[in-house]
Amino acid sequence: MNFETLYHEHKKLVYNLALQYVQNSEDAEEITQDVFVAIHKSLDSFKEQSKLSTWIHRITINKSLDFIKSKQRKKRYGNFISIFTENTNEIKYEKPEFNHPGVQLENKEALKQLFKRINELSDNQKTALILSKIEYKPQAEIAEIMNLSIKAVESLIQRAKTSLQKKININEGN
Amino acid sequence: MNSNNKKLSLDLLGQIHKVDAPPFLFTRIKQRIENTCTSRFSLKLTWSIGLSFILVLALNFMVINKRIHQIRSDNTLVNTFNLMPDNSLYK
Repeated sequence: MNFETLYHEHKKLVYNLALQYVQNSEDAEEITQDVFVAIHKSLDSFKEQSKLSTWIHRITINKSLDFIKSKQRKKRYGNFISIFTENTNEIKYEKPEFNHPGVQLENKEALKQLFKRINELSDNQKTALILSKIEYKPQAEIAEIMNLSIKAVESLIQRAKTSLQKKININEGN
Repeated sequence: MNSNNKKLSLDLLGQIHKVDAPPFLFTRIKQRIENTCTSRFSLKLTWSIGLSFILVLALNFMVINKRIHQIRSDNTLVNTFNLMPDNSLYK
């Protein structure tokens, strides 16, 4: 398949999935670029053992998680450096603000709070929850994307929901 | 109780809409792919290979220099004490 055709067929999928991970349009754009560069690099080696969309989902998830980890590393490094350079005017890394273009204004504050709690979940729970509750993927497809059994996916979603509910209840109690 | 938290539930996730990717993204991706193709080795990799090469050369030079110095001092000792440099007695 031509790379340009592939891009136009899957750009929405990649950009939106990245958005669910980082909730920021600029970061999602950067991840989308990383994903398509990686796809271009390994398109010839794609063996069609899995569906193309499954493969693209996997790359997007991995790139999104890598992006978040690299940002966290930068933040930690920034904090470490700031101990030694307290009174400088250097730009420090700050967590990007919630800027999700798919969220309507009236839901913005509530979804910001909800995503704050989703971001505290483990990578697997977060992925299963995003694919199931935002992307509306059936459990069989999630299992294929995550390379897990359907039972494992079911359990991940259940644990994610329970953990999230606990976090919400704790916050409401305060 | 915070009024915002009253609304917090997983159902809210269903209200997230799909959006289109930014229009000029493909141009930027193409640009990045071209840049990757022209520079196969990153600057960081080039520097680390270069520095490793210099380090290996420097270590080699040090070892050779040390060896030459050692041979010279051995010869000085042999000459000072009029020693025979080998074991062949009938030369």
